[in-house]
Amino acid sequence: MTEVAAMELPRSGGRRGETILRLLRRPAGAIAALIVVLIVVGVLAAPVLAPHSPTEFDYERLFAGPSWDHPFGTDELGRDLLSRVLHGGRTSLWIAALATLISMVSGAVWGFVAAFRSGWVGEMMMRAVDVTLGMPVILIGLVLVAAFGSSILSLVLILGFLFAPATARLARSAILSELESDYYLAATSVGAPPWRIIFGELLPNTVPVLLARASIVAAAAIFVEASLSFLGLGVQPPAASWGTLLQIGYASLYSSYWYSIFPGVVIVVTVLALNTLGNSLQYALDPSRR
Amino acid sequence: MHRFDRRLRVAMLALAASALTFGSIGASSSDGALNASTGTTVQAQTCKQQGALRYGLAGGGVNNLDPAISNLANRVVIMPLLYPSLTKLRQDGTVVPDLATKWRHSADLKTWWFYLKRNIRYADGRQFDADDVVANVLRNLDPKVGSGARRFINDIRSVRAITKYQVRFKLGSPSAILPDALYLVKMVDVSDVSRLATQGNGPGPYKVARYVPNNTLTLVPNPFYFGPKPCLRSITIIAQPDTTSMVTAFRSRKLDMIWQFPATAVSAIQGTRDAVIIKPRTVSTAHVLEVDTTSPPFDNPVARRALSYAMNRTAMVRAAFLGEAQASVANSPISVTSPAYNKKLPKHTFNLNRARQLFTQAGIKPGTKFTYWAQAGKRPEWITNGQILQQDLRKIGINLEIEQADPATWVAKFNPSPKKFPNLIVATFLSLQPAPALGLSAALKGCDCNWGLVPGTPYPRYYSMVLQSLGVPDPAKRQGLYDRLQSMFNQESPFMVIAHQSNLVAAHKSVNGAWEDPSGNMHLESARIVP
Amino acid sequence: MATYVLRRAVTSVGLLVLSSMLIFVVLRLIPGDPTVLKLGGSGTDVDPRAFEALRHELGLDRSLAYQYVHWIDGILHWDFGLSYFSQYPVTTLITDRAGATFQLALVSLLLGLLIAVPAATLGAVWRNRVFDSLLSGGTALGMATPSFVTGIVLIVIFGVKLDLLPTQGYVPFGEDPVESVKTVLLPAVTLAVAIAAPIVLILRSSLDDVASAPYIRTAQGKGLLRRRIVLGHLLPNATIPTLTMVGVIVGDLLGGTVIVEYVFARPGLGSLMVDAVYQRDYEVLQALVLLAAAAFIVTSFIVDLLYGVLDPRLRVRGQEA
Repeated sequence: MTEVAAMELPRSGGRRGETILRLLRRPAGAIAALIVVLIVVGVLAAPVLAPHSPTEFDYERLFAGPSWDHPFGTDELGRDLLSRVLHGGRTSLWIAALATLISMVSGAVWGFVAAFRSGWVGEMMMRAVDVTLGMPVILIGLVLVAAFGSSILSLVLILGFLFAPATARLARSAILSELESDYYLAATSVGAPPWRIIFGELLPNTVPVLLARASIVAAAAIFVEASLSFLGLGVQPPAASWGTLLQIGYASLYSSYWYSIFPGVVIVVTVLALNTLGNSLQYALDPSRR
Repeated sequence: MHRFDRRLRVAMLALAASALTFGSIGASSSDGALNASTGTTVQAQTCKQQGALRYGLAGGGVNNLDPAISNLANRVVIMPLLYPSLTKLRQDGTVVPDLATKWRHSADLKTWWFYLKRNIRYADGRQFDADDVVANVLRNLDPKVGSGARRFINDIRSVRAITKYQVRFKLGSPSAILPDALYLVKMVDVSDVSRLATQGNGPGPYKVARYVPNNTLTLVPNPFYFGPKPCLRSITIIAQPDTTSMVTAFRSRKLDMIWQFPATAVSAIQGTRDAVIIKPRTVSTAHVLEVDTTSPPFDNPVARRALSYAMNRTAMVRAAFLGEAQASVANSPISVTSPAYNKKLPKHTFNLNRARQLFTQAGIKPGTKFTYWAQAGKRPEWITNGQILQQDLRKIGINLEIEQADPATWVAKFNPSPKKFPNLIVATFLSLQPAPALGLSAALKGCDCNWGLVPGTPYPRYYSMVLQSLGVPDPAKRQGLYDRLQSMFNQESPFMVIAHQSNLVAAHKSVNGAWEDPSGNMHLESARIVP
Repeated sequence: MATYVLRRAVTSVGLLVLSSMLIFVVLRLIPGDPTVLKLGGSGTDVDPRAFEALRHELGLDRSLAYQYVHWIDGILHWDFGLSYFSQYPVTTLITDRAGATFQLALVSLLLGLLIAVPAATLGAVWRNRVFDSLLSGGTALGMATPSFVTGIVLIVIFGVKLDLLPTQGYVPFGEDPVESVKTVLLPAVTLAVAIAAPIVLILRSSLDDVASAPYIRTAQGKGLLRRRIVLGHLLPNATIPTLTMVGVIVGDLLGGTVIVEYVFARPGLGSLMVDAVYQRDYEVLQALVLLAAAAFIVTSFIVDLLYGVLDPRLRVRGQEA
């Protein structure tokens, strides 16, 4: 694997291949990566894996506890909760993935532009970032959901927006440290064209840092979506995310103790795995630990 | 716009079922009202002031002490405690004198005299007399105040203090039920309106001791109260973040009483030691689906009947209310448990083929999209019902999109009225009046007495029959009219009744004397705690 | 140094002004005007004149710019307006509720540090594999559990099953110290979990960094006592990066209390904020968000200054800049 990567990407490729290896060598990172892969695959394969239809009612079995037929029990309409959790994961993960993409792309562009415009423009751009960073995420989330509704699209946009500023700050500092690096100085001194340095060297080198960040943003997106759902402002039925399942389960706590446990556990495990993956990536990428 | 007979309209104003969520108190039974020209004060037993009652409610605490600002049903519980009216409500829904000792009216029912008790004082010790009555009535009539009581009393042409203890009302047209309407005019200290919202000075049995808006409100006995001393040392109304934590707090005895808990918790409450579920004597509250009967497609009664047939009410009662409600399969505003219910009504038994047929007849093609609009976090039952309807409508090719909005967005959608809402189905809870005529009057829409969220078309034939029923002394004949009214309602289906359900209230056995009126509001005036 | 401080102070004030504008405009974009909610909450049809009168009374019929200037002018005179709903002055609402939040924030921050600092230090010094994996597992779990989940679990265990601690409300310390502490305990633990996790993470890694630094090795070589190395060299040097994290946490505490106060029905600023969002109580919300922004900006300002004090290298650089 290292060799292939090294052949294709002669200079910085070696670094990346090493990173992956170093990530996998840490047990926590490897386990986290495995869990994330399992969850993503499980959720994508929901139509195959789910034992029942996630929308089929069974008025004879409302709020049933776990059984062989329904390992997670059933919900308020007798739907199979395992199937609901698997399908609900699609909504949760889609929202998280798209929100992450938006926050990464917009945040990175913002941060890069701010880094290259070192004058007052860049300064203003970063101050704008500070303004949004200064307000509690959950509060802005509440206000924005109130303003733009809680359709899946608006949730994606809102969550993407919420996490963009911190990404911008990270992207900017990543670029700034690249600008101070020896190879950048060397490249500019040999007179390589600026666009080639930027697209050929600078940006690819910040990708790993941003990847680590993406993993953490995805975790945060799931987290905040669950919190908004807890306040009743998340995904609307019949679509269900893990957050809405948890919320309905909590509201029906006295009819079914089981209901809220499984969605809750799935949220915690996913966030845990994504966070650990992100941290391990960061760790693996940190040059001081080489 | 139709113009109706004034007399009819005035009667209706007073009668019309009051709105959902607003604690409805409107008027009471016609028979009771017509001969209630004299009354006696109800004697409460004297008692030592002991015990502190902790009362929990979910979905927003008390945020304003001015009774004219009618923004939350949750606040209604404090009204009889702080602000009595000239009349007060009894458990059967009739009214008796409270601040008044008696009243009389002219033969044409257009002039009324109310006589006041002489020893009434506000919580701050100031004397309460006829001038205060006049000031309060005028304040409630002022359109700028936005009082919820206004539409019930807006035919009052003049109100004057004849003596210090006598008030005269002159009406634009005859009304037999002014005492019932005046129950809605809560007497407050209007001498300083700016302090009303925060101080809550009234002549009621209790007064405000400690108040954290949206969180807790502690009431203690008013030393100047004219009646027998209340039996509690204090009543604390504590806002709960959600119904689950409310039930949790109740079960661990951090609350003595909880209001409006969900049906999903009934078994948990029943399993709690020393807990009882309090029920009203009659139920006149209902979960309904409202539609705009002035906009397509639901301006067509055929489309409304189609919707009614597409509603699997039995499944809804089973899944959303866990059996704790009475399905209204024949779509009647009168509960099936009421003696006035018309048992011969044609049933709108769940039948998708029939629904499809009627939808087609009304020109609604497969692929049509309706929106189901409900308030977020308020009643999970509504979302369960929405999903049942959604699934069934999909089978006949109609898409139902469920949308939940936070309370502010929800309310903003309907105000200021009038607006148009094509293709919209709104899930709400209606507090209707217990008397059949009043429950049936709930179909009244589109006149000045519009109570609903969405516009409705007037229905003159129905109105005149409701009014006619008020003047029929023979119970059998009256029931005949009720039966016909229910048939008309069933045929027109101005809104869809899913099921009748009271607000679920639980208390520990030590709490005595608290009762729920048929419209779902709690009365703690004579509550006490027996150790 | 002085110019640096001055520059930071000016930017901070600029940031506050920008924040206030942002808050002001965004709030007015939300559907659901407060007059509608106040008068039409029952769903009854309210006379349009009542809306007009109330809009006029609240000044909502004026232009946005006028409203903003009016608001700022009020703030400069320490007048944050009245809550549209309760009619209380916003300053009263905030000061009345600040106690509950302040107590919660303080106790949970102390608890968080009390858990995090010894745990991280022990992990770095002891280097026991089992303890280490427990620690990192616990940290990761703490970061991955939404605080409402932690809160609910604690309520079910300590409030319902064991019936040991109150699950709701707030008792001022001055009124009943014992009850006050009992009431704050569950919410504080909930929040402390969320606070401790990131501190452990960052302190642990900076402890590792410092431990491998040459001067520590020198100290070890010199045969200094282990405890002296840890307390005298390791911790102080590892504190600097941790300080930023603590700063961020303190600045964000108001946000952190939102969900916790909601779950534990605590009458603090967080629950005031949620209610204000639901009721579109602009005046209350504006003041609170401004307060949150100010808390964040001020803390990061202080942290920056402390940084300069603690790390001489930065002080020099600051002078150069």
